[in-house]
Amino acid sequence: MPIIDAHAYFGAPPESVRKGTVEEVLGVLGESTVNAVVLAAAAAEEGDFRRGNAALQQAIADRPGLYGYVTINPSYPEESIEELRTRLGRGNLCALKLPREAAGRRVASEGIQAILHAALRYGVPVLVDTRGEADIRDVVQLAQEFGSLKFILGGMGDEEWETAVRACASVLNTFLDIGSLSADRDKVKDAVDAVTVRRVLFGSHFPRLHPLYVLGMIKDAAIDNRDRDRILWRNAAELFGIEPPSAPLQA
Amino acid sequence: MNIIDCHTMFGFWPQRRADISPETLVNLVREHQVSTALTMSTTGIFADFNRGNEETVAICRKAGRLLLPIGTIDPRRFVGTIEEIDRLADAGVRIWRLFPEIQGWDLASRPVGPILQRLGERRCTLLISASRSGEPTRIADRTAEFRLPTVLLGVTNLQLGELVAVLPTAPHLLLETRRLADPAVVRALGQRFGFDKLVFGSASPLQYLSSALLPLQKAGLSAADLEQVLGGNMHRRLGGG
Repeated sequence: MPIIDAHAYFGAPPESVRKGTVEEVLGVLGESTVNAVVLAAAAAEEGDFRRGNAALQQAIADRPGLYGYVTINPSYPEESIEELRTRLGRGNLCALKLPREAAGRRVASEGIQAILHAALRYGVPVLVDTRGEADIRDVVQLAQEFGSLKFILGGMGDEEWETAVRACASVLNTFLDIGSLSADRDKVKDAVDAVTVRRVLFGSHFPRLHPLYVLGMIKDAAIDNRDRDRILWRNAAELFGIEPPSAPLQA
Repeated sequence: MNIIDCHTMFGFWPQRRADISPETLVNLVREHQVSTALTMSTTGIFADFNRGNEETVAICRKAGRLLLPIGTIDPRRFVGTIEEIDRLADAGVRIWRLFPEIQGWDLASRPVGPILQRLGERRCTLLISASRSGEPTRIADRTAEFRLPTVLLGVTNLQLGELVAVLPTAPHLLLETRRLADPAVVRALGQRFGFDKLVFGSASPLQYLSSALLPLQKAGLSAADLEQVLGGNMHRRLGGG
């Protein structure tokens, strides 16, 4: 069974023992039998998103199995829209990401709305980091407002995953990325039961987490192997339009 | 390999819907080939520590060596806590857990000192949550004078800087590996401070056991180091080897 990692990073946070280089990503994800990954540029979250996007685009060019998010910043809506125009669909950049660090106090800002209006013409998935109830409510509201876009709740609300599961149940253009430090034993099964297995994704969040930490949740979840198959790759393949390579990633 | 899970529980969990019955715990422990799980009744956290400890001892007796008891007391009551430590320590309970993060008391409050002192005198080991920034520092400072071996539960890779700063001056501290969440972090801490400072705990059945176990098993540790972390270090704390 192949694995597509729907959410990991190129680059590492300052407290990490990792560097998050492409070679490290390929090595660690490959050892965890991951075949393809959609990366966000860590540098685009903590600094100039345009430089981060450019570095990511260059790093993953012509690398089989490596895909990327174009990171946006709602404080810079015009520049973000320009990033969409110039980068989406080029060099394996296939989705948008709104990082929590760049979102400001509330996710549902005027800036993000302007960017999402522009994103309608591209129709790519939009991942938004969610770290609590307010973030979850905002993403659900945006998903209702922009019904033709598909929204991924990055980290599934973290400790507030039960709220995410309930809030997304009837909002069919939302997807749940299960990766977070919160490893509550029922969360994968509850997500599958509430939103259906077709809207649950495996995201390792490497190097902030390790793929095995999140894969452990899927291994232990009280779901059948067809559901595992969907979470581990099929849903991501359909959502991002990715055909995973037959072999795991290799450094 | 002998696996000792230092952090499990059973009973009822009021903070979210979760099956943490003793049967579920035993099934998970067996399924993951854990040799021994240290455990306690959640009655001791949320209701009454005397009653909780009784439930813990009874379940552990029934499960044989598969489950071993963790004692707990609640400093908010204070009265009777020292006697409870002595009673259970006389019966062989060596591992104790305190819950400031759930019960809402301050580690610096006056009742805590005598409790920590008695746990140290009885050569017990303390388990305590330290998952937030600053908690490892506060716990290290508070427990140092009592020479009380203390396992910091729930520490994360995001606290790496604090842990690296605290551990050299706190030789009595150990770290639970569960939420370090990356084999590289386990390796880095083990190589810097010694693998005798790391112990395996899962918070099962509340948390996924494999999320804690897989990164450890794939950390690329030598067989001897892995044996220490998975079971040897806690085995010594329990009075073996």
